[in-house]
Amino acid sequence: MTERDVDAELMLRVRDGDEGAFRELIERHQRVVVATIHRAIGDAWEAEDLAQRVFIQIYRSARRYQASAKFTTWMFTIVHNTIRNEYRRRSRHAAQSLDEVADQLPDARVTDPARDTAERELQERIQAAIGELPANQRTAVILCRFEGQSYEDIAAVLSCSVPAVKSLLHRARETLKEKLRGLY
Amino acid sequence: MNQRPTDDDKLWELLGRHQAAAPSTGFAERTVRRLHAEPVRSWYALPVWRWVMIGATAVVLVAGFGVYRRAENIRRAEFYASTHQADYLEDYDVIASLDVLPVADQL
Repeated sequence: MTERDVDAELMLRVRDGDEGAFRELIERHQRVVVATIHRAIGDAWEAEDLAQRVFIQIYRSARRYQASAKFTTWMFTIVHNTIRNEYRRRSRHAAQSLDEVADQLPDARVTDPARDTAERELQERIQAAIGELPANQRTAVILCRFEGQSYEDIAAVLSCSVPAVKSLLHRARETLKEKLRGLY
Repeated sequence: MNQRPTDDDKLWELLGRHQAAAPSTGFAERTVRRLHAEPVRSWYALPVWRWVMIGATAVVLVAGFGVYRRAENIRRAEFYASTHQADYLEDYDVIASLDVLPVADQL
């Protein structure tokens, strides 16, 4: 049974209210979901909270899931929308910017005491550069670079064409080169 | 044959050094517990301010439509009155001109 079939099978069971299947689905994809959200918003605690919301939405939307569709594409679409909503919510409550929130919450899981200042600064600069990209470019970069998704799958997540994804990635790369100049 | 890495390659490699958070222990269990703890939100369970916005928009639309209809009725009434009066004046001119008909036209 392929990975895709396993996910589809689990989703069918989730649709029937099988919590064991739901738990298994979470365990299969939690790392990817938390990591993707963390790369986008830069706050580990918030990423975990949003990842939980993503899985809850998956459970509650299970009836709408078509077994013919690739589960990860469907899941990343929910992740992408959740991140966008979070950015919108935070822009409405502009008193606390993303950077301020990240500064206030010490990130024990990401901040290793042994890591030197230069490495921490590097992580922060990469995080900030990714976080400042427009929503679609950000998601395209994260899915392509970190999650190894194909152009076709990213296009499905972003509801656009493959050439549009290539264009998004090109523009994102140019912006990132500008922002991270001197680090590579 | 080794090709020199391009800027794109170097950037991609740099991005690869970014470390993302991992889910904490018991993430799945906590998610399932939260699923049961959080009530299902129905479409009508919008925040109050959204209902206020929707209501205000509806009132503005209905009032705007009423004002438009009233203005339209007034405009049509004025148009009707002006054309009716023009017809009346035109008839008056014809009747008045009967007095000055040329002699050749008289019976």
